[in-house]
Amino acid sequence: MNPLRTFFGLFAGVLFGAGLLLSGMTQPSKVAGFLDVTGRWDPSLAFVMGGAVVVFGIGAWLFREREFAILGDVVERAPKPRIDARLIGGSALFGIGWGLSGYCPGPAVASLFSFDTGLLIFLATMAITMVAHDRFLAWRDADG
Amino acid sequence: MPRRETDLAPAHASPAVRKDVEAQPPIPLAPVGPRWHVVRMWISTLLLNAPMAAPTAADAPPVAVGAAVATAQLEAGTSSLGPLLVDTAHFTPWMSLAGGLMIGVSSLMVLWLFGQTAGISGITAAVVRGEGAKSGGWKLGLLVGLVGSGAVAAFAAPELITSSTSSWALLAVAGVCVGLGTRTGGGCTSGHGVCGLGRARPRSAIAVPVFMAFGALTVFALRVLGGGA
Repeated sequence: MNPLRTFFGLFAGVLFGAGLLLSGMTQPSKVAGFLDVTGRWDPSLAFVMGGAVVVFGIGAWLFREREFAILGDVVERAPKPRIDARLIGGSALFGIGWGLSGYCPGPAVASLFSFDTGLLIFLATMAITMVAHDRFLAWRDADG
Repeated sequence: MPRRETDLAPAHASPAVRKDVEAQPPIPLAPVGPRWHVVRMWISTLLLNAPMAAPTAADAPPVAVGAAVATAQLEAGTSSLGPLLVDTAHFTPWMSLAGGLMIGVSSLMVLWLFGQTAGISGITAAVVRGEGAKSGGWKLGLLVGLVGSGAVAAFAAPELITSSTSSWALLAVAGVCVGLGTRTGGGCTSGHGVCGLGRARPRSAIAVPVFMAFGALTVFALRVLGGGA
């Protein structure tokens, strides 16, 4: 743990959370309203993603030739653009979960202190599944 | 005689209309003392996404399922397979854009400071695996900040965090889908949707339409079958 790095992480987290709260992402009904394209459609979340993508896109473009980040870390390079069944199947599964609950990981984590039982159930199964998936991959890769 | 009845009809109807108007509650006066409820009301109406739509027939639990519901909703005009019906009552373009800009700046901080294009699903998985303290602990810090901002809102402006209307069983299934889906698909709405699209990565350009389409299909299925989010 490095106090400076933890503090910057904390600051980024607060900013991210405030953005989610302000934009309406922590209201599952609003997410469902965005996904409900054949019903009464609420386009708000397109503005969330649009605003975020534009800001991040410009910043990332300005940063494109940097080899090292401000705090000295090596800037992560883009992985090989591998379009496979894992990418498509995983994204489809995530979309189904998103539609079923109205939660994606960020808003779900940010909503923790509402102590809503349904949300806690969602977070628990999400966290367990993530760890199980990662442990399985590590076990498989270590074996073969 | 019939003439008389038509003469009487408006006279009979008008008191009923007036009664409706009179039945509306008077505007409550603010009590003496700290007016926190006024501040709260002000915040929620001016800044936040307070629901402003009155419940309509479409909000009532469906009595039929499947094609019958779909047909009824199409006929009632609450559903459309052609032009989009924009829900103007819940539409919050400026607040959503402002929130989006903040999310963008936060993601940019992670890239500029730590050189990572990390989404929340990856950071959450790393922290839950017990690796939050690695690389200076910024991932743990970020997650604590995310939870902390939500904790402040849960007490200061609880209307910002609402519950999902889906059943606990559906939410448990949804958690498994989101957990497994984001790990195998390599990202969520922030990793693929913000960072990936922002860097024009082909994988994200595939992933985002896929999860949006499946999300929309799922919401459609829930609306038609009942028990929706």
